[in-house]
Amino acid sequence: MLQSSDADGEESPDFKWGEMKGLGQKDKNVKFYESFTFDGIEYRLFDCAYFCVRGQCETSIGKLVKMFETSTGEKKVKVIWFFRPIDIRSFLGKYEPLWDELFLACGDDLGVSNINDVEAILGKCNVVCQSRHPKNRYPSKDERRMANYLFTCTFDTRLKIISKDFADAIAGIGVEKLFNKKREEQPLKRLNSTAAGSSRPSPVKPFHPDSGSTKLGKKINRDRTSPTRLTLTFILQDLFLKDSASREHLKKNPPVNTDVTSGCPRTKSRASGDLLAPGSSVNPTPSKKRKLRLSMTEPADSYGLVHQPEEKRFIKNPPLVVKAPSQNIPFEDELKEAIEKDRLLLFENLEPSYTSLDVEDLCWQAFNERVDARMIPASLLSSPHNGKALVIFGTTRAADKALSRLTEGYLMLSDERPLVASRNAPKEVGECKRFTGHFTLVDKAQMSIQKASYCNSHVKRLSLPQRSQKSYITCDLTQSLFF
Amino acid sequence: MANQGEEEYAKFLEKVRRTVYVDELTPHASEAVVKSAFDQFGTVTDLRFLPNYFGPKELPVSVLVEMENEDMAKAVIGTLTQFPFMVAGMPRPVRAAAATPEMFHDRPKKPGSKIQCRWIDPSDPEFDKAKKMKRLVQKHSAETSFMLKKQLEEAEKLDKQQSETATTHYKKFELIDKLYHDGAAKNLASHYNMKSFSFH
Repeated sequence: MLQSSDADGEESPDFKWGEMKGLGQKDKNVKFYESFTFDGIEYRLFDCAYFCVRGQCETSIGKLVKMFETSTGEKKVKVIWFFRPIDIRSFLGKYEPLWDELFLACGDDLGVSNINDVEAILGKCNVVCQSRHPKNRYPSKDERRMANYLFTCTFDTRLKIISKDFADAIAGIGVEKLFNKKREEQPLKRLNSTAAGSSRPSPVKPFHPDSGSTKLGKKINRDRTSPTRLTLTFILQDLFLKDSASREHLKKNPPVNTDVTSGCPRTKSRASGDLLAPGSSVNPTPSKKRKLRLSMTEPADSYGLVHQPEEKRFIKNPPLVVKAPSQNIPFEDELKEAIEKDRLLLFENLEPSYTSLDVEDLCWQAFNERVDARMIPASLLSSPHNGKALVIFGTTRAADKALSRLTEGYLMLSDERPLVASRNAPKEVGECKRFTGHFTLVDKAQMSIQKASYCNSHVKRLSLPQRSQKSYITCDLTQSLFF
Repeated sequence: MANQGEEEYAKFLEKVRRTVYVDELTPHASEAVVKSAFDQFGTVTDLRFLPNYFGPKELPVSVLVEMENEDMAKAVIGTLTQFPFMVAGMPRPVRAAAATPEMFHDRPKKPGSKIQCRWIDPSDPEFDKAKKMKRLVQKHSAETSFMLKKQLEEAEKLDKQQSETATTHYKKFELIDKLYHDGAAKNLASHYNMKSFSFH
């Protein structure tokens, strides 16, 4: 089945289709697949993934329920979305979500599912279902521990209620498929998403929010815990709940796809205050959950966000999106955090002419990891033959893995020099107490005058006979120390 | 694309030529102080301290001083190699040299350079060679840090010794000065019938 991908292999080398599932019923040119590999990560049907839209700081999480290639060669995935508690904060009521809880979208409304470009996928996300539903295989403790998120409830986008009942089908997909995978499928999934000891490098890690790995991940964590509580108090004041409900919902569904009349659903709903349900499951209606900023105190802000959907192109190279925030914050801060989390490695024996970007490239080639690297600037004190770089990995585990890989084998660089890595972290930035070569005499007050006069006139000192004998001598003394 | 890279690199090299590397600078020197010190030679357009990630904080810091043009940079280097130059009132002359591209952590890629790497596993014939080299690198870095430590210790020892000498001398002079001031020396001289001489 690989030949189908060969056709446009040149345009996205990171992408490869897996096994073909069949052809479209209506349109024979549409090919459905079971899995695909994108950016080194294999995605299978019913895996969950992080999605990103330009202009939004929060990622969205969705389940991949269909993967297909259109007649024009566009690679699409159909996604059923999960809501974060903050997305539906106005409707939580008394429900107190767990810190890593998600809600599966259901109902026949817009925003349950839609079709996205494959490029929008950022990385894999491990979501388990903890529902006691008879069709669901209850997750083991291990699975629960490994999971990034869990879900037990659905959120009906039309009725705006949270429910523990699962409909038989959501967006045309049988509900049993949305639950945890059956045992026999498990290893496959594990291999890609969580396994640590497997030989396959797993570049998903940088996107794991749990480990607080990337800035992005951290943000998710922070956002998730506190604001929910905030909302619960706010909900009482939310008098126009019904009205804002649909509006918030709209905001979650700005059209993102290119192939759709963008902005259409938004304007419609703004006007009518209620959404129609145009069979969203089949229509390639683009919608995207979006993070509602803490705009709850000023609903006017929500209108300000509306222009964003017009940026409908996804970023071609998603991992860069994750890296982007780190470029905004000073490297020193990032470094500090990386040291705390043990995500930092020191690379030595690099060709001194390597640039920071080269090192990042190198890590991608060798470890399949996106890293943030910085060459340590050379100085006259440092060795001219040994380039060093600080490399910040996405997660502690990624750093561990790279380090152990480098201990087992050797990474030979272009000019036959093996890379040397270590866990040497820069020392805590402390204050320098004193600088040798400078000392003070007993009498500080007097010294300061002398020092000043000395420094001002260390060249023409001798031409000033009127200076007192004492300071004259001291000058001589001081001078003798430094020349 | 390639042209763009080359252009960028050429621009960067031009910047490198305008830049002076200065070290032996006290860690207490602030940006403003350094800037005003080098503004005497021309216009300083940019200033960046090189981070000292691994050494002790007592090490002298280095700074890259970007001047407005190449001539100014040359003037700085010329003057500083001929005369001792002190910055921030620190009686320890700084040292200047021309900057090299490696001193910039954000240097652009050299056009045409390509990163290549390959893994060497135990079965590879070059495994032993790689192992040896790696050991050597580790040894070198250990040696470097040890030497640095020793050097600092030595500098400190010397500094301590000198400061002690200076303090003693200072105290002696102060004593003599005091004797002259309160007239004790004069009294003694007259007492022993000696010819008094003036220190001043």
